[in-house]
Amino acid sequence: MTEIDSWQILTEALPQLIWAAAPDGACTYFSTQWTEYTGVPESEMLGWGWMALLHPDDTEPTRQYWMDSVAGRIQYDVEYRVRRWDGEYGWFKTRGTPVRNGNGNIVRWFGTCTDITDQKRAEEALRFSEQELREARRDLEKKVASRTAERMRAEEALRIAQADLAHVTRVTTIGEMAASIAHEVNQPLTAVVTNGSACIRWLSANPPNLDEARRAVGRIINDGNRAGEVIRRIRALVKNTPPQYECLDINELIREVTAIAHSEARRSGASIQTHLCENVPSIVGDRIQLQQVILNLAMNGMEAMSEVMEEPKEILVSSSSSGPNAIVVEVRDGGIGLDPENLTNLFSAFYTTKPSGMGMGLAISRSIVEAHGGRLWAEPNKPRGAVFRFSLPTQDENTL
Amino acid sequence: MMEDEAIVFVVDDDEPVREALKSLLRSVGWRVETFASAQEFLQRRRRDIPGCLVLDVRLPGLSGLDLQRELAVGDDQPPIIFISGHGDIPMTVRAMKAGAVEFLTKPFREQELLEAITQAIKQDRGARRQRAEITDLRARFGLLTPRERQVMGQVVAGLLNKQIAAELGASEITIKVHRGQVMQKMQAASLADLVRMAEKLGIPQNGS
Repeated sequence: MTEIDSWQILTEALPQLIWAAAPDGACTYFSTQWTEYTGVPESEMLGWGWMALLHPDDTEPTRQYWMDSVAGRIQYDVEYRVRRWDGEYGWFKTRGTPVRNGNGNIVRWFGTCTDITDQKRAEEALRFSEQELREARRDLEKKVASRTAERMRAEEALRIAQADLAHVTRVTTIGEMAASIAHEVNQPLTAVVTNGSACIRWLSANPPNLDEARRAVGRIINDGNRAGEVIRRIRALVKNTPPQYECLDINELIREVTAIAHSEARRSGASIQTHLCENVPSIVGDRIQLQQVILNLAMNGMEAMSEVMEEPKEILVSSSSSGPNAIVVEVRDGGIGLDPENLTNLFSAFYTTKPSGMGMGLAISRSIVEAHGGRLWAEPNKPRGAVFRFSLPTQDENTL
Repeated sequence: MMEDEAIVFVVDDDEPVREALKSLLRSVGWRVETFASAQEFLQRRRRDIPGCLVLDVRLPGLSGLDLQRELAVGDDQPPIIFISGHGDIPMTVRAMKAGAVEFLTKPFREQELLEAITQAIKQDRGARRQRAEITDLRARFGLLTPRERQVMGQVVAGLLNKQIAAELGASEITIKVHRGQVMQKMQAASLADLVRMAEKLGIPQNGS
């Protein structure tokens, strides 16, 4: 077997397309795979004919590369598209290796072309997928951002609605207390006018009694301040500011509510007593909202007691520690008590036993207590009436 | 009697109102005693000098109207002036029907209060005078013998001595003597006087 024969067997056996070229770059040999692929006979491809088989966009760059390689400037390692027998183009990776003589001059070129069409297609598909994936991700991120913004807006709107509802309920309660509030302001006013008359008389006496007159004026100032305090408390309760969380002494809150409500209690023939644990730990919360809860429970108690005849009619508000991490406030009345059938509905919105009630008070009180991390529940009192209790986490527990 | 001291009792659970009223009433020249509840007043009040009661309606425990009712049971109910931060019409009517001198709503005008108190004290003086008188008359009446009482009853009924003698089965002379005793013991200046006294004592004009 001649060298040429062996050579031919080898080249025909390989999957690649084989070619050879003269040192000047003209091709001298194309394996049969070329003809099988392109449908063009070898004779048409020899020399520079093969360039006509390349994709028009690849022809010039390939020629540049080939001429640079032939000139010894670069390695011949290129990719180009070749027209298949059916007109489609396939991608081929082409490598050329120069054969040198003893003097180092190139006497011949050998080269292979490997069909990388599938690879290329896969690469392109991958690139395309990656592109799509990137875009999809960008899209998703945009959607998530806008949904998050939406949800935050909705949460904010909900918070505002809750605060508004709590505010409206407070204002309604104050409205129900209007008569007793008017009375509370009327008392110091009466004292002021009476002291004023007294002062004038003391000054008109013969001789004027400056001592008594001075004392009367001093009392006028105190009475005026007292009226101012009543107004201040009411104003604080009807303000509609967003919740402000701060360290609070629950006993102070209870005392304020007792001051606000004692006149109303008097009106229904009841009294408010307190039983406060002196060393109760501080809590974190919104002063006005928590006062609203205590006031709501006390007012409910008074309403419940207005329907019973037994004396004494007393609302007992007490505070105590419950373990190291919580405090408990209890509002106890001797009224008509709870309906055992409706114990679970007690705290539902729109549940009321009052003919003119809206039924929001306990629902809102519970949501306020729960927003503070606590619980609100009710039990029957003995011999009659109800006990409402709510727990709140202490300050330390809150920061954990 | 008109120059007697008078005392005003103030019952109101609001301390500043009590203090202000105390100062005002003292500046007018009355004595004042203040109480924070109806119970307190019932425990510590005195009735040795003329006075009246300035009373708030809403009080802890016994209300002002309840107190009015309780005081009405006794013999010497002091005149009452109500002062109230509320004061619906039914309440006012109830209080006035039960004999209150006045019902004022807070803040009241100084003039109205002082006039009401003045009137109340005058009323109380009059009532005390009447009561004292009756006590006196009763004491005098107590000095009469049963026979003398009988005679007195007939005398104020307008019967002549002769008729009385026939009625009681005694001689005219005896009747005359009894009559003299009656006039003397009762300290009556005239028959008309005696008749008035009999009225006050509630002696029926028919000789029994």
